[in-house]
Amino acid sequence: MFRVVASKILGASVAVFGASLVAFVFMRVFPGNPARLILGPLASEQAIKEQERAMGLDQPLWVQYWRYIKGVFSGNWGFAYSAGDSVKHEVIARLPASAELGLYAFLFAFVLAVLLALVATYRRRPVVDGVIRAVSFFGLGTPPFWFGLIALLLFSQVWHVFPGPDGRLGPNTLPPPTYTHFYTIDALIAGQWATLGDAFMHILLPALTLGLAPFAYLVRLLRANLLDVSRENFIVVVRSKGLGRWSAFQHHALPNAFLPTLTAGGLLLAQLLAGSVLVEKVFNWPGIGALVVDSILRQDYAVVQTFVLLSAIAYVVVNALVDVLYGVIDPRVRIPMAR
Amino acid sequence: MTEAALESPAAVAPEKDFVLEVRDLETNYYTHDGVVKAVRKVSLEIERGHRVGVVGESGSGKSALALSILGLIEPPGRVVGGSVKLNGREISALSDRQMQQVRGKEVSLVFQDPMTALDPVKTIGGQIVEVIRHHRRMSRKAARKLAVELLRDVEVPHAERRLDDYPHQYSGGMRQRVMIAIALANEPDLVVADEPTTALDVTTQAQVLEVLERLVTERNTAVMLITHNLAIVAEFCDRVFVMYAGRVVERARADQLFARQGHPYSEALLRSVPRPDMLQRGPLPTIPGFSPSLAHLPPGCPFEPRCPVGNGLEVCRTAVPYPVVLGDPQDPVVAECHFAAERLS
Amino acid sequence: MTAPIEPGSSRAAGVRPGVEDALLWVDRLAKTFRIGHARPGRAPELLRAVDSVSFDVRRGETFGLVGESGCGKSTLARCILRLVQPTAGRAIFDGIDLTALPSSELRKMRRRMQIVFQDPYASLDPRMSARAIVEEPLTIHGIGDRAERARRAAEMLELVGITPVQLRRKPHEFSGGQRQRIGVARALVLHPELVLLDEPISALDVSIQAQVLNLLRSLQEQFQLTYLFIVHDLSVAEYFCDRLAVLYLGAVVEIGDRESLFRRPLHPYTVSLLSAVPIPDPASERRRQRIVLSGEVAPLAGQRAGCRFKPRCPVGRDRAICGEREPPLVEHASDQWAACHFPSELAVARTQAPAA
Repeated sequence: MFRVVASKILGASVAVFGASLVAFVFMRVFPGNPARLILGPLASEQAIKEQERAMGLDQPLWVQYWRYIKGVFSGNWGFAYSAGDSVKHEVIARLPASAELGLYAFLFAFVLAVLLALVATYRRRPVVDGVIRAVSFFGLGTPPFWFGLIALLLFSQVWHVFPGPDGRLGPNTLPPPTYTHFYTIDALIAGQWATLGDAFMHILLPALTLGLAPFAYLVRLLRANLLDVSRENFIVVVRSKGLGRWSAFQHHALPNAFLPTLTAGGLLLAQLLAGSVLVEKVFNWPGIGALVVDSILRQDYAVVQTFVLLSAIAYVVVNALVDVLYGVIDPRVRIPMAR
Repeated sequence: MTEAALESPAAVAPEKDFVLEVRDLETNYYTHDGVVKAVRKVSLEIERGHRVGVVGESGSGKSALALSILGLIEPPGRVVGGSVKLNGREISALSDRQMQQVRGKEVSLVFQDPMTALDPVKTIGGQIVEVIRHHRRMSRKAARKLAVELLRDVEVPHAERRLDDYPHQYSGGMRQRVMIAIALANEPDLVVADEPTTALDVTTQAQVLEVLERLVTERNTAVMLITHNLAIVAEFCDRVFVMYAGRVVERARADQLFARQGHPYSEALLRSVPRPDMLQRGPLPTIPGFSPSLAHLPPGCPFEPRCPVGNGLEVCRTAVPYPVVLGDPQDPVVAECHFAAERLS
Repeated sequence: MTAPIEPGSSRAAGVRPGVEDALLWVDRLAKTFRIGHARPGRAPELLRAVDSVSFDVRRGETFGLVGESGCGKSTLARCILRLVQPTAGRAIFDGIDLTALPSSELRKMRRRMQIVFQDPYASLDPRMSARAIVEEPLTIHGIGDRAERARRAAEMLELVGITPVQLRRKPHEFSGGQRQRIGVARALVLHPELVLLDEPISALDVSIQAQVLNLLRSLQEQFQLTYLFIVHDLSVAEYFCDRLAVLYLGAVVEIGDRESLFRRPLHPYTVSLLSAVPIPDPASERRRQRIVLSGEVAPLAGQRAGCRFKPRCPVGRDRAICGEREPPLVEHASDQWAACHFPSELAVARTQAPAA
């Protein structure tokens, strides 16, 4: 037991460390000089040299990396030149917005995917199945930014059901007091119902847009797995015991078919939490996706490194969660307990 | 083919106590290749406490017959005709909800291939308790106690300790015992056992059959044993129905059938089984060719292309043989072969 | 455990004289698995899956390895082909010790040794056509050009009874028996000398089993093949094998030629195996004296004294010597060896079959 956990933790650390190293090296190997970008095209060679020294860019790579790692552990994540603020502030301001959006998108994708996959396969009704397959086909084939624009056009401009692309809240709403940085949850805790409603209406369309492709992917995956499992012998046996179709499905087919969906869901969650540039741009969402893309273009090392590091940690944590859930569902992969 | 040719043979004496009476049961599968007639007007009956063998090769429709009786045919398959009476009650017209009270209680199933017949992510105990509590008002604790008793009955060692194990922790033979425990949990009147020992070693096969035999004798449970191996029927059953291409082509008491076979197919099946009680001889006799596709049946006797007796004969190629009723009218041999009378005279 | 054996050294029990000319000579082969993790101060538990097995297979012969699942017959076969590295002993194929061969040499040798698997469903790639499946070994070993390979694959398939119109079909379009025929064609297309048949018929209907056995026999005559046949059904082994070894918990408990072994089986395990096979005759005398073994093959771990079959043995279950001393494999009759303290005490009634 201890061995297994220890080896998992070791593996996770290696993954995170590796990701940080790759990001670090890549940023520096790519052509371009951040010092020049900061000072502008008219700066003198002398000024650029000094700027480089100030940023530590004149040091050998390994010294730079060592400083960076030290900084990570001491809470100094560097300075974001493009934003003119410390990386820590930028991330704290923007990451929760992306994470909240990602979480909603994931919930929408995952819950709806499970429900629709069940409906599609249960009783194998061809028409229902056909409709659901068409929806998932559409979801996989539609670019999210296009879908977002169309959704805004229809629901906001034409029918006025949802607010326009104002970001997380309407212009007349004040942010709720900060507990978790998630506006919907903070508003709920503070009991500010109007703010809650506004935050919710604002997050719904972008979450739908962001979750559409993952939803379509999960539906396809789970539907295929459910079909496979429902052809298994043990489903016939369960039915021969007298259980109804739905009980057999719910208690026996779903748990068996769920494992691949769980894995895929975990990876998608990690990906969604890290934000998305296009959807954030379309909805004016003050998330981290847009920041990261800008930072890459401006060679703002500190921001990109921090982002990669945080993403790697998110992946590792989500994967660990999936591993635990796997063991709960499937006894065959349960960690052997020491007797 | 004429419909009349497929009608069931003479009615069986009515005073017998039948657990199961199947009349002219028909099941089709609607596939891309056409309509697969898996069960073609099959009639059979099983007396209370008796053991009946249904024998045939894979693709003969014997598994479809079992599922049709239990009302478990799923699309693209459908039962299209005939009647199934269980304990005198017509069950072929019951709704699925009504059948949920019948399955697992009056009739249960022991399925082939114990490796795939149990849910891999549920405990053995949970799967036994499930069938008990579905049909009886019983506390979880009492059901667990009963499950332990059932596991002891089927001779699973350390039953109490192994109740919370998962299927992958059981060997093939032990899983098949669990299947038998599940099937017998609510003391049904009929157990349909579909190839219960096919995937097992000969020694395990003998053990499992022995356990099944002891338990059904104790409980006076009737068994419909479906198998491709006539030797198992000889060991276990008192009556045999031989299936070929979706039809029962011969039905007889076991001792009659093993003594003389009215249908050449029964004879060929019997001869292809190795006999461990006898010493060596040359190559095994075989049945040439393969079973016909149930979607595209030949116009005459379906066995004609492979038949050592009728292959190439005009009558066999063109006419579907009528059921020929022979011997004691109270307990006849019925064989669907143009030459059955000659063969058994 | 086993000292290295020099070529030409003494034969182990159960091996016939003149073994130097055998196509396959398995000499005291052993495979030990460690089970569980070693803990400080305690040796790891060892599972002796194959426990010093010896036999020889001559050219053109069919040698049967018989036993229940868990008796080690599959591990033994894998050790011989070196799909698993044996712990001790040798497997000598045509004078070459496979266990000592570097892997590049071994790959060339594998062409001469092919395997047919039990499960015709699982062993064929569902997306490949029948012809592609049979062509693949030729491609892997770089034999012929594309046209040559296609021709040889088609020929071999025709030989096993797959018609030219069926060549493009995928495995799911074939019946179980036909699939096994494709598996046979795939094994034989390289013209191997030794074919390992791992329960090739136990997943098939009885009526189809006979067809496949007869096919294997006629191919054997045509190509002078040598078969190593793994099977759990002794009555099938009787039809098909010239010589056989009965395995129990990784060791040979009886070995000999078919004639003597079936006329008078010596080991109670052999007798029980034979008696477990159902007989297609309800009136048979033998039914009444059937021996149903209790329990299952329990994996044997660590050291223990006495006979490995004792816990299940109808003869020696309560006898002291069976628990104290392990019976050695001894030649009791001409070329019939058994590892039992009380050979032939358990007998089974058999009659001469009427001429077919």
